[in-house]
Amino acid sequence: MTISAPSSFSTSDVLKGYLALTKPRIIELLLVTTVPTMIVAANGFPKLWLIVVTLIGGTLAAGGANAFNMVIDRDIDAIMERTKRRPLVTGVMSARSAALFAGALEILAFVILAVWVNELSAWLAMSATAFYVIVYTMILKRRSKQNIVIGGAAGAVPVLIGWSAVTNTLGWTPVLLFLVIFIWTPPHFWALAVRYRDDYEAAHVPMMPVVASLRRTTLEILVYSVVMWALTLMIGPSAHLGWVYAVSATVLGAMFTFYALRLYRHALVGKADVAEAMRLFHFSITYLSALFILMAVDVLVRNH
Amino acid sequence: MLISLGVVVAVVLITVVSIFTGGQPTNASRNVLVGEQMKGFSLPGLDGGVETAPWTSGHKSVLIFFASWCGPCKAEMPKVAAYLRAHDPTPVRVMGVDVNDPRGAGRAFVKKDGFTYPVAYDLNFAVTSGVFGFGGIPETVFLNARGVVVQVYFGAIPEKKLAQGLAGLQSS
Repeated sequence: MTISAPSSFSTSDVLKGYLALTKPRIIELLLVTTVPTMIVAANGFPKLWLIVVTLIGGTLAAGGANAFNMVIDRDIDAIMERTKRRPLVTGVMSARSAALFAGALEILAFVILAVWVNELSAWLAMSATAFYVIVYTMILKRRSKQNIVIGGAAGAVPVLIGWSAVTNTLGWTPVLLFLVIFIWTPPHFWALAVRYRDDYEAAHVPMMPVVASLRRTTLEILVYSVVMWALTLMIGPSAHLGWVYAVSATVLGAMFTFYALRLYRHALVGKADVAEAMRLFHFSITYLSALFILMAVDVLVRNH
Repeated sequence: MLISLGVVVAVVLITVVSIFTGGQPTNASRNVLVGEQMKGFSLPGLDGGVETAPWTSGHKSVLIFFASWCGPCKAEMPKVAAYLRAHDPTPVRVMGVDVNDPRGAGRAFVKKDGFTYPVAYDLNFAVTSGVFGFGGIPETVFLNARGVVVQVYFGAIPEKKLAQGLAGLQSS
């Protein structure tokens, strides 16, 4: 792979561009779900090297998937205000270089996971990438208003990888963890899409708020919130967690549902409330991080 | 009409998983045991009496599944017994589980190597397969005081792994 910069860009611009291709902010959330999952799977702290290697493998795989996504979406990224500073839009590198970079990341991720973790984890990571790139980005994103619902499954796979890294199998608890993130994803992105509705419309991406009424979108968000709340409460018994988790999941779920309900009620009286939607969006990130961190705290507290 | 696709997918996935697992966590692989709460059990003792799962009385424990007919167990037992003589496992309770063995053969087996801890006598794999889901031995299982599996070692356990497992339980 060659990294060649057009003369107008400095080397540091190019390197920052390659980093931006991997969407590091999305990867943060991936880490915050994977480590606690590994702690729950091990019922304590797994070996540090296993955590580190799993995170490196998972990060490279997700980064590669994000880079592929940017290669494919560079036409609509150029139209949307939110994404028009992405590296393939500004032209800091060619699409071909970006695709090669993405492919290299995936190969590296597979080798690292297969050699130092296990094959199950490596294949899970590759399926998530294939699903995200092919099913979500290439097929669903521009065609279906359910794009994020199905596509979100890719973002939920890291918990399966974290679990299988420790146990080399899957079971009830990782499936429930997967479902929590799967059900969390649509309200998270729909809240964002309420804010950036015009952007998505201009790019002809049929996000829910673009093709459905605000009332319908916010009702969907509310339904997903309640279902997610129920799923998080099922994890306690399944993973033999204690009161720290039970209380956390109950309170956090109540807060999430409260924000969703408030958004819906505003929509009912016809207020296109962008601030309310962004409040839910920001809280959804806090919510997921707090839920998983407190899940790990629960395990560690009980083992002391 | 409101039908949320994600909810439908979630319900389908839960249904599929529960069909595949019979609604129960599977112990098909020993790794799945880690983090699982094990049911208590009572078995006849190899030397008479009754042996009860240590966690039913709130004790941390290590269970060593063996049999006189099992090749790797023959290699393992002298080392395990010697290690336990040299290193006091307190407060961890050590329990042997003699699997599908003639009683006399089991007794001779532990006596020869000087394994002095209680041994449960599991004639029909009732606990070995029924509770732990093991298809083979030797297996060594480390459990916390609530009976949650902390670690499982399949095969003749090396001294280092036994030491690590015990130390982990002792310090927890």
